Amino acid sequence: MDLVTPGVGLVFWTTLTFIILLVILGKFAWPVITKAIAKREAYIADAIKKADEVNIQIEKIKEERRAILAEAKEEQNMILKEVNALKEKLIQEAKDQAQAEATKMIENAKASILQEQEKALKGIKNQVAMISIDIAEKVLRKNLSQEKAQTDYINTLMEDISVLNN
Amino acid sequence: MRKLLNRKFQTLGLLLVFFSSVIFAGENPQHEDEKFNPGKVIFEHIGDNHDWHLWDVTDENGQKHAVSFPLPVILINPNNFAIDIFLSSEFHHGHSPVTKGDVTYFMHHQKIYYTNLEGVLEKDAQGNISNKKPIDISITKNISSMLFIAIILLIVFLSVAKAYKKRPDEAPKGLQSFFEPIIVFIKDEIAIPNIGHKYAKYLPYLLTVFFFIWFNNLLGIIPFFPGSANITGNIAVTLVLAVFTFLIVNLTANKNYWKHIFAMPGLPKALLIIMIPVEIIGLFTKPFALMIRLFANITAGHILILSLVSLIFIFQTEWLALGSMPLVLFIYVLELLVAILQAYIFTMLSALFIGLAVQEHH
Repeated sequence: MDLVTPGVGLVFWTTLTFIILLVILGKFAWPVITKAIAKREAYIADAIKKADEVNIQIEKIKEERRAILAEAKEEQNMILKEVNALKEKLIQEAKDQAQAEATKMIENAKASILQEQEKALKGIKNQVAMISIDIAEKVLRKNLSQEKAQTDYINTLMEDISVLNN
Repeated sequence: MRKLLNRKFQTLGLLLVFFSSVIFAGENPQHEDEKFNPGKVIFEHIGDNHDWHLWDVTDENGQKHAVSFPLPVILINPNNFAIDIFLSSEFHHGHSPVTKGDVTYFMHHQKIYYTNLEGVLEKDAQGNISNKKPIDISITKNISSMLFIAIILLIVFLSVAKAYKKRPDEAPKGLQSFFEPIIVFIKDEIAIPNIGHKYAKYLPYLLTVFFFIWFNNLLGIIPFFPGSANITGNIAVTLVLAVFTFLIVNLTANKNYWKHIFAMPGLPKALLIIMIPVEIIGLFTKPFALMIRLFANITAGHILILSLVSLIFIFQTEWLALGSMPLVLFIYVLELLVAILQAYIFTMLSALFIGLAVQEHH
């Protein structure tokens, strides 16, 4: 029975001890500890929130940078394309022009060759006519009594003509 | 026989010596020739004591003497409230009466009675002692252990609090990092889920009661000084703690709570005649269960360990230690768990009862 009969002394001292503990710890320990923990929790939560915000901002900046880069690249491509087109066009034009010039020059050359040919032919014709007249004159003038003399004479004349022609 | 036992002690290790000193804590030299009585030894151990027994020595005449240090005896006369304070060593372990002024005290089985100058106890027809008793508020073994724990608690938690002040917003270190998860657990897992948003008012009580019970439980299972006192296995201690919970629950309870007790909504009026007494009994059974649960669990643990150790003395062979010591070790480890578990259960149920008393809606 002693085991389950509370002793007055223990009841008294337990009550006193527990109240003292409750008052001292309740005033100087628990509020300090719980407040500090709560404050630190808030601080950590705040830091995490801030870090998240910064991350979002960084992500946004990255996105912007990516967009700018993409835009720049597109522009570059476009410029390159334009330049290419321009180059092609210039080359084509130059080619065309050169072609035209060449054709014109060839035609001119052909024309002048033909002119020269005609001129030369005309000159030759004239000379042949003159020589023919000369030969005829000389043949006529010479006394063509002998056949041998005639032939020699014509040969001499022919040599003359060939000399002249040269 | 005791001499024989004593010789056998020396063959066993240090561990057994510790246990032996605990086991015979309540024994007096006058029982020298009695047979070893485990029931008596165990109950003397788990009960309270007016001096702090350390170990026994046997003098050259084969007489056993307890080596203990005395604790203050404080006695109040219930008639005139005169207080007498002296050391328990004056009783010589219950052998001699102590006369202070015009009254004489005699200690028998740790209880102090008023007697005549010779210290004679009178017995009535049933064999019960009929002497009058003073109000005994002595600093007993249990009380000195508890005061020791109170000082430890103050040192530990004031230093933890200081650490928080000194290093705000920094990661906890040392003692602080050991106790922080426990404090946070009590706040987040016990107080908030059970009580709700009003938890802050009750948190200091819950924290104090948890650490008070846990530390006392732990000190109780240390088998040598300054442990070995069965503090939380004493019904007076658990009674006080349960009364604190009872007072807090019923003094802070709101209208809802009382309405449920005296006019349960939705119940036919006729049934109230039955329900009101049931609810009123319920008010008291809750703290009563708290008191019994802690007392019984801790006391049972102590009895179990002491019984297993006593087996060695009952069979009078040290070889039994080979069997019982591993079991004792197992129970010891289990008691370590029980120490924190019972503290948790007491705190959790207190929070639950407070929660029931302060909740807004059903």
